[in-house]
Amino acid sequence: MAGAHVRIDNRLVHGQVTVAWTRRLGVRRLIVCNDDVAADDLQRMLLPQAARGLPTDVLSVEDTLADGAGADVMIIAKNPVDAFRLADGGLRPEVVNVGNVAPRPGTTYTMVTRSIAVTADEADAYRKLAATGIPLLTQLLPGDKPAEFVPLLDRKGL
Amino acid sequence: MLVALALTIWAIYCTYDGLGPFLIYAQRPLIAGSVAGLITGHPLLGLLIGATLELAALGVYTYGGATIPDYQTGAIVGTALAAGAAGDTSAQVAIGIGVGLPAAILLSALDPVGKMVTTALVHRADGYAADGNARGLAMIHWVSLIPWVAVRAIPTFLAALAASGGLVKDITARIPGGFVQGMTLAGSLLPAVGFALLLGMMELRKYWYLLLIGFVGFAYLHLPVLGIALVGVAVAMLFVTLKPAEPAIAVPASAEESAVDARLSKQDLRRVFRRYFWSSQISWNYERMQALGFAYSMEPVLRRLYPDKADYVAGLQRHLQFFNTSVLIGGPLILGSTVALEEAGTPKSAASTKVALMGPLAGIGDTVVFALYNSIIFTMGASWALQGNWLGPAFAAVMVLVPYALMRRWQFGFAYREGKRLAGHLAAGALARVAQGATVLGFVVLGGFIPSIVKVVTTLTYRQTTTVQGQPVTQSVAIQDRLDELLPYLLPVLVTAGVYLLTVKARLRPVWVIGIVVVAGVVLGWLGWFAPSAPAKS
Repeated sequence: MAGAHVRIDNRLVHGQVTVAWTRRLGVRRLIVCNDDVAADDLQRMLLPQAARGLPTDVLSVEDTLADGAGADVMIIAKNPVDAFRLADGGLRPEVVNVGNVAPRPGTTYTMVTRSIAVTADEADAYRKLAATGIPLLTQLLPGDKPAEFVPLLDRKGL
Repeated sequence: MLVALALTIWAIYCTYDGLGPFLIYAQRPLIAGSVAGLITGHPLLGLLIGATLELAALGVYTYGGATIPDYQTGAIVGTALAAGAAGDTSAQVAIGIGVGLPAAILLSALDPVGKMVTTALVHRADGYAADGNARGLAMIHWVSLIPWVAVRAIPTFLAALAASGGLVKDITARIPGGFVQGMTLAGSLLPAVGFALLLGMMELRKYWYLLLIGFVGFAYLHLPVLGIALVGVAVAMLFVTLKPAEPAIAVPASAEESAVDARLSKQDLRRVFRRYFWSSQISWNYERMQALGFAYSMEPVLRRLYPDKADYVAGLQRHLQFFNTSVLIGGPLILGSTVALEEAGTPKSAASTKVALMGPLAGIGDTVVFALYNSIIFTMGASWALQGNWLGPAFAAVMVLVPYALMRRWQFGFAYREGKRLAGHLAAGALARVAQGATVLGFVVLGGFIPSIVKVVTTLTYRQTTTVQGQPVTQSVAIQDRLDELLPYLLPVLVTAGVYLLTVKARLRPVWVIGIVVVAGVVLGWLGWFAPSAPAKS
């Protein structure tokens, strides 16, 4: 099951995704992948309404792996740990794009780019993800220049 | 000098308006340019330049903090320089657009600078929150406006100052007439870029046929834009009401019926709403986005609910966490329900509801506000302004001022009363229906806008020899007449389709597409092959 596009974005379904990315990638379906979100009735009902008519599923990591998504699907993983679990479970996207990871309450974080906060645990997850051989990039919008993510971690000493 | 100062003050207001109150959406080029025209004493120039830039920038709004061309400064600076230029009105407008567009694109480089300064400031706010210092928090919030304003007001001031010197007149006096002709054509082609970007954001594959309604309305029935909009409203209502009833989504029963005695006074609520209304995102920054604005708005409620300092500090810190949503539709709903949940003594669920709602409401709110409602009223406003009619910007301003103010007030009150049950209402699909209705209306209206606003005809002719009563007669035939027999407004449709293919299919960046359209317009207009409208028949 190669080909599904994977983006790490803890703001999930929002303008950058629905306006810019889904059109650029020619995506026909979205999967929001996170165990907690999939267990939350409210978010499960609201997120598809935000996707501007694009069919949207809110699934746990396990269900995402079972879904067998192809190249016309964009998977939005809420955090690097979820993304690593997807890769660990056999998902092989062409790249994993780190989009937005806003800082979360009560964590000690470092801003790696303007929109990406990384904690020590997450840095670990990013490195494990990169070690699977899937290119790990950060590119906020299709018009931006993609950058290798691991060197950015190195630079911040994470 | 006086004019330069007045323009700078106007630029400051425009920037603030788009970060806080959204009274008249003054950062849109139609409004920014029109008022700049009044200030410089050349109202017609401001109208025409603002309207042209507005139409080129139709689908262009900032999503989640992405940097976009600074059309506000482009419109003000373009108008100021045009006012100081030599030549007649069409030459001055050509210069204004020729300066305003590149200025808008180049100055967007300054936007991240302002946002980075505010990012540093929000960490100071963290310190004040930890001390429970509401005054310090408020100070940082309002001070954050300065970098936002500075990166727009300073270039405006410098350009306006330069425009007042005689130099502009000397330089522009040497601009050849052919260039003016070309730039005029480019200006009337630019709306195609705005329409194409807008179509790229809408579900064209699903609703393309709705464009035909508006097109036929304008091209064959000669309906005015308002008439087409009314047809669009009727079609939208049909779509929304005739839809087969969806399987009812189970609205989650609210477990905790909040029957707490009201601890907040009417005045507390008013204060919260007022703070949000006037300053929701003036301290927007890359790291937390609208968090400080939200915390600042919540502060009066937190002070009332948590007499104990430790709780109060925890409350401030709770609402200083990352927050971003659509501030006109969505933001006030979230604020109202957050206040209700804090009052009900469930701060945990206040925080989690906030997080759950901000993403989806940003997606829905931005679509309705940017892609649909604003695009329709600003296109109507700009199309009147292009005819030199003041009703244009005035209509747009009023249609922003009144509905958005009422909508925000209503959302806040509704969400506060409903509290936890709000989420259930939203989940029932009402929002999706509003978005669908607005999309349908948008397509119908766009179908009429494209032929009425993208103006281009060819002035080329060919010679045709026919035999009339046995005598060979050679006549010159205008190609445009032949095209009109084929399909009225064929060229505007082709131009818009071409630009759409460039942006959406060939995936060129909008800035490049604007460049291509301007160069093509200038060259073809200069050569005299194409013009915005047919020359008067002699």
